[in-house]
Amino acid sequence: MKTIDMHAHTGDFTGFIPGGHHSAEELIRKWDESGVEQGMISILDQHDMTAANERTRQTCARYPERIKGYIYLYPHDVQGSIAELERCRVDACFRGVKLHPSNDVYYPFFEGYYPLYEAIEKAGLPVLWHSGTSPYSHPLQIAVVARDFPGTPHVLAHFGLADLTWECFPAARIASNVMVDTSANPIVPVLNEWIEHFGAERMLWGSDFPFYDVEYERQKLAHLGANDTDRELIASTNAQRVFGL
Amino acid sequence: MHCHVIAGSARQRSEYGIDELLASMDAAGVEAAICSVMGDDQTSENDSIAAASERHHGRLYGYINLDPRDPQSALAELARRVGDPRFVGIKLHPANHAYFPFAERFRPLYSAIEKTGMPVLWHSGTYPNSTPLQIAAVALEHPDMPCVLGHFGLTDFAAESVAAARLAANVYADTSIQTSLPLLRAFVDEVGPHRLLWGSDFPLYVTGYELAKVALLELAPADRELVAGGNARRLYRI
Repeated sequence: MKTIDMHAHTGDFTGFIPGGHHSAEELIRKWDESGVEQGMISILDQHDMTAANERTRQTCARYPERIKGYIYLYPHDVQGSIAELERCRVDACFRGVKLHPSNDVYYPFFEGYYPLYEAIEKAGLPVLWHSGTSPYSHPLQIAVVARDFPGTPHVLAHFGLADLTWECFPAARIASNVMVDTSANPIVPVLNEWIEHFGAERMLWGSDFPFYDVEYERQKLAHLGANDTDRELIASTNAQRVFGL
Repeated sequence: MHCHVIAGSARQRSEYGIDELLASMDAAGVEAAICSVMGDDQTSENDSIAAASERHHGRLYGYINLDPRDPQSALAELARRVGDPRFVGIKLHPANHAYFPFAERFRPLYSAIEKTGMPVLWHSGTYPNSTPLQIAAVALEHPDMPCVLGHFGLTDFAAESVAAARLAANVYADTSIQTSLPLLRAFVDEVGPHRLLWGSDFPLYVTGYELAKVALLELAPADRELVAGGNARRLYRI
């Protein structure tokens, strides 16, 4: 089964996880061990969006067949983010936007950010949102944005994590362009309930490497109570459709 | 006009009775109040509110406190109270009772509440299961049920109250223990003065200090009347 990891990172996350710098080579090795064919990475740096995105671009350039990237943006600087979006989006290695309201400390629904969301919608890029951390990354906070920008697929990373997993359900009810990724969320019965409620088209598999283990995350796919068609949608077909891979 | 007080037992203090409530209202010049008693026995709690409202007719009204963890008994308790003029609203506290408001198993209860026309005062602002947007998601699916966000989402979720009111037109908020005057003003500017209600959350908070907030909001006189009591009289039909 073709498998695409739509949620990974490279870099040094000392203080969060051990291991120093987690390189693209380490990521590729993990993917190879688990039969993952390709994936998407983001690099976050609230002090310098451009530097972060340049590192992403260089990493993609080393593995053009296997790695695509997210444009990381920092909405506290709306105009700078719009300029960075315009600068990056012409490069086909970028297939989405990454937003992390929890790390970067902002409420997604603040209307001051709406010019940026409008630019993202115009660029035709999906958004991968960190979700599940309080108080800034609740699924419903993101769904408010999704409802106001129906042209953009909005992916709730981590399926709302443990505390807010259930909040993904009303988020999906109020905005049909809300999707979820499975990374770091081990609550398989609730993942299954999502598939029953909304079908498999709105769920994406991702590992969140290096914070989580690619192989352990991949094995989750086997534990889902989904048929083979649905499993394949989650493992790769949805990502191909959403990110144009 | 209070729209949010707690009579009876309050967790942080021992026993607060109706006499203390009335004394605090007299001292602050508050005409009428709507009270709830919260604990683990909805029927006896609602009985005590009914008795207090009976004794202080026109001054005290009651919320029907419901515990929806057992949806059938909550429906039965609602049916027992509907039509009793002493009760003018519903009180729900998803944080104390530990449930997510948007769970689909509560839909029959919400539909029954919606049919009564009574507003629901929701505790709001406590993580993870009483956030304003969780309540707005319910409001969106029950457009004829006015949903009042008690405490305006407290500290972490005050900003979310504004987004919740943007999302659903039947979302209201009360001012009790909310100290972010800039966000209360933003709420009035963005969604209108007809959706903000004053409340004290007595006895956990001090009525006079809560009331001082109304003057500092710097509202137009007509809007101040709405927030202080006009909205409550309209919404709760008293």
